[in-house]
Amino acid sequence: MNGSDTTVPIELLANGVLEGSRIGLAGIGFALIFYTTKELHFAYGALLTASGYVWYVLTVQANLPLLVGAPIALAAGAAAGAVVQRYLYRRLTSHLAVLLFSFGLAIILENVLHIAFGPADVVLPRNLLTGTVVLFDRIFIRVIDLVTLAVFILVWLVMLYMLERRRIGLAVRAVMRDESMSELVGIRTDRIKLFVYAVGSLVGAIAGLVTIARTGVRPGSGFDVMLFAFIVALLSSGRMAMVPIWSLGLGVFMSLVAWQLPTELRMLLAFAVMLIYLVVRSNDRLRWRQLLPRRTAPAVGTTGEANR
Amino acid sequence: MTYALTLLTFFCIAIILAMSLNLVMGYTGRVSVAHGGFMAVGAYGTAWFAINAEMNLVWAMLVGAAVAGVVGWIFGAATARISGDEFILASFALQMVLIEMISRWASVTRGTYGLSGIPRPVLFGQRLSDVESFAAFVVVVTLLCGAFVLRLGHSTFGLALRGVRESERSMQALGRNTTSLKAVAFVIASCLAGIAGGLQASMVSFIHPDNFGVMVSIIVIAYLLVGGLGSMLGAALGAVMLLSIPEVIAATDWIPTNLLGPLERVLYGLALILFVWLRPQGLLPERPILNVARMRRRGLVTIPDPQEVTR
Repeated sequence: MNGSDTTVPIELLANGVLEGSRIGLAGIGFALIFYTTKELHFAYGALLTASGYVWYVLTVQANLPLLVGAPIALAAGAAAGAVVQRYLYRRLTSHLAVLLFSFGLAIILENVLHIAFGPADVVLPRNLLTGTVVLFDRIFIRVIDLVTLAVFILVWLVMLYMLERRRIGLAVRAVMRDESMSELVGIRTDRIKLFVYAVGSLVGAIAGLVTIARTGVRPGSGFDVMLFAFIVALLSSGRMAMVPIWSLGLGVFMSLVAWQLPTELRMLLAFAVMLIYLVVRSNDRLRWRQLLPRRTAPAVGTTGEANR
Repeated sequence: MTYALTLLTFFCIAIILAMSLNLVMGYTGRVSVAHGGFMAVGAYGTAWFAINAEMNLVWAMLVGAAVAGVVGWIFGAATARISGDEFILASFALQMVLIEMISRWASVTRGTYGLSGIPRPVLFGQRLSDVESFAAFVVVVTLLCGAFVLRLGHSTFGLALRGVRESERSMQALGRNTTSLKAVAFVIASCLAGIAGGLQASMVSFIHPDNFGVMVSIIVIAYLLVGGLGSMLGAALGAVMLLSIPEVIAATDWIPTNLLGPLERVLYGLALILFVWLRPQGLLPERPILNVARMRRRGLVTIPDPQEVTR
């Protein structure tokens, strides 16, 4: 921090946007899976880390170029997500069973990585991504941060395009809204779920690769990434379009918190905000709206409940 | 012998944890991932009062449990309208908030340095500093908690809790205040978790925020799943079985010590997965409280003869 008073907030804002784009990358994939299948896929974080490790093995131990290794690692991540859905989760009967099963899966995967690679951070060797570029002669930016931002925006746009403009996106949105109804109108919900797991895990794998290129990964780092993906998915409450926006908001919020308060409080504040939000939201509909003047007659009958 | 007794105390602590979570997760059907957090509150409350106020640990433990209960009450009341997946998230957030608060509030908890020098309880004028007497103390506490929880499970209160799990609306229609039922169950569970935390603090005399992380909460859930959700004896059995895993693999010599921890957790995960997959009801499945066959034998209920009804 060597700038004058006015540059500090700008730096923090930029940091926040970068932080937000990292959260958003992981969050988009997680939210897609969560909103469509309503399953809390806890192993998402561990799978994300695992694809980072795959990239590491391919480039460092098998000496492949980074750009050759990356697609293979991404494909492996997507395939792993799809396999988990198709052969494991699909046979479970309830969302709770899936949650607990994925807890178990995450624990196993994390510790297998620990046994195989050790507890320490695994980093890629020096490469193009770890360098810095200079903009306007005075702003130093790491290449990986620029790449993160670009990839985040790309994923954001592709996801929006897929969901809003493609047939499959329509089907995905239908399943998000009401699974049994979609099944009735002829959408093959099993396939949609499989597709969603594959795409979500692919996005997760991208987040994993970004993480390893930026700071390196250790077996537990998927957990931290996933926590924020979790929060963001929750804050957006079912609207995919809001996920990147909330991610950026959360990133900026945490970055600004770090300006005035010790950095260690970030995690605490993020979760406190999440908890308060949940509590407020659960009471909101019931009490607080009654205090406000109503514009329309209260909904009666079947509306509302199902869309929650 | 010392080893066996130490193991016994840890088994007992795990049994209290499992049984108390069973009240919330097994009976009310709300999955709470915050049990490690309540245990931490109890442990730190106990430690603080025992060290700073120089209280006898027995009373400090009760105060610690009360503190955990108050936290549980606030949380339970605030989240009374949250259920399902959102409750899991809320309890998860609470777990993170509690552990982060304990880690950061260094003036009271000594933060990430951990808190050491927690004394053993004094009972009948004697400090229970040797393993034998402390183990006996822990066993007595566990039996008391177990008896309380079992009694609770078979009372009308326990029945009402299961009613909330099956259908909250039906319980409301029957005139039960489901909000307060859920909150009370949560308070009792967090008090018991606080007691378990206090026992653990006194047992190992050193506590650290990492001892009560989200992993602990998940392991307690694994105890319940292995033993059988909704069955108190099953919860105890699951705790004993899963806690035996690390002892068994530690007894075999061929595993390097630095891999013991991860391997142990892999086995926990494996146990969780296998039980969810193959035997979701657990080893000792929940049985109906009202044994209709026995009631019929004793003439407490009669079942009309179907032919007579149709005639």
